[in-house]
Amino acid sequence: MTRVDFFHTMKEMSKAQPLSERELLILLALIRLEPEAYGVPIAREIEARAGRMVALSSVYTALDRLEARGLVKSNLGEAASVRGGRAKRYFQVTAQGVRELREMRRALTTMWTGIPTLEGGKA
Amino acid sequence: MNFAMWLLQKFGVPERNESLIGDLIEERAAGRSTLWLWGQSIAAIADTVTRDLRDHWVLALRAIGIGWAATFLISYFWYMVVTQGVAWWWKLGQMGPCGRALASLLFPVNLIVNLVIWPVALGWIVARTHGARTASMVLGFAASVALCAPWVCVQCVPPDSAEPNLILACSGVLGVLVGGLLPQPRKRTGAV
Repeated sequence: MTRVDFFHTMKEMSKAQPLSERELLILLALIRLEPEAYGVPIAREIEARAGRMVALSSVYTALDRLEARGLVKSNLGEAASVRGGRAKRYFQVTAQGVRELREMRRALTTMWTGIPTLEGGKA
Repeated sequence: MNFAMWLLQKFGVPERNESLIGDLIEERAAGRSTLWLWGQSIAAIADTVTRDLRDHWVLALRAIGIGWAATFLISYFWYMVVTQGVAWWWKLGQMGPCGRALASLLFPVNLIVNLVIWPVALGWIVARTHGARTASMVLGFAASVALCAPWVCVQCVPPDSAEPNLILACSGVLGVLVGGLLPQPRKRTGAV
């Protein structure tokens, strides 16, 4: 395998990696919040619904990664004085992102069903 | 602008900073505490640095290499040309009163140069040679200084006591960070 082939394979492998828990939460929050999905509401939504505290920087890191994989796209809004004259960066889930989410849900549901230990509310 | 956000602007990812800083200002206005703001800013800087050092470890090694090469070159030049030169001139006994007065200034000048000027210059050199990832490379070099400085000080300075070496190490790290903050971060190209 040549050096170029090796790096190409590695790049393809990284694209094919399954979504991490944080990425999954962020994608779901994006769909719930669209079209008003940017850093602050995304972090708040995850905190409110999943009970997870997330740093704003880690939300942006995950979104950058998802954007590089083509699962989300972003565009800059208008600058606002309440934000010190800085623009909001709005995010949207792409069709590929929705497909990835469906696939993830299918895989998780398949794994979840038929496990007696996880049925009912007792540990 | 808040100091935490100024640090973030200097050390964070330029392309992401505008949106992130805007979000932080918005949250602060909505009643978040100063502690929360500092936590978010430090988390953002730590996140950027960790990613950069992991993804660009060759560049990080280059930054550390350049920093230490500059350290040894500058130290050698300063010691051989300035310190030894003045000592040699003094020994020759050819100094007039003016020369002796100047030579007596050598110790404080040496102190200021070693404690302040060289560390700042080294931070500046590392930042200038790694403009696209200034923060991470300067912090990487500062970490190497923090780890190695006590040992280097023991090797270079007669170890009369631990305090001068400790002061040198602390001022070295601080100076490198200050020097690294002086140049404006350049816009990154490609993926952030």
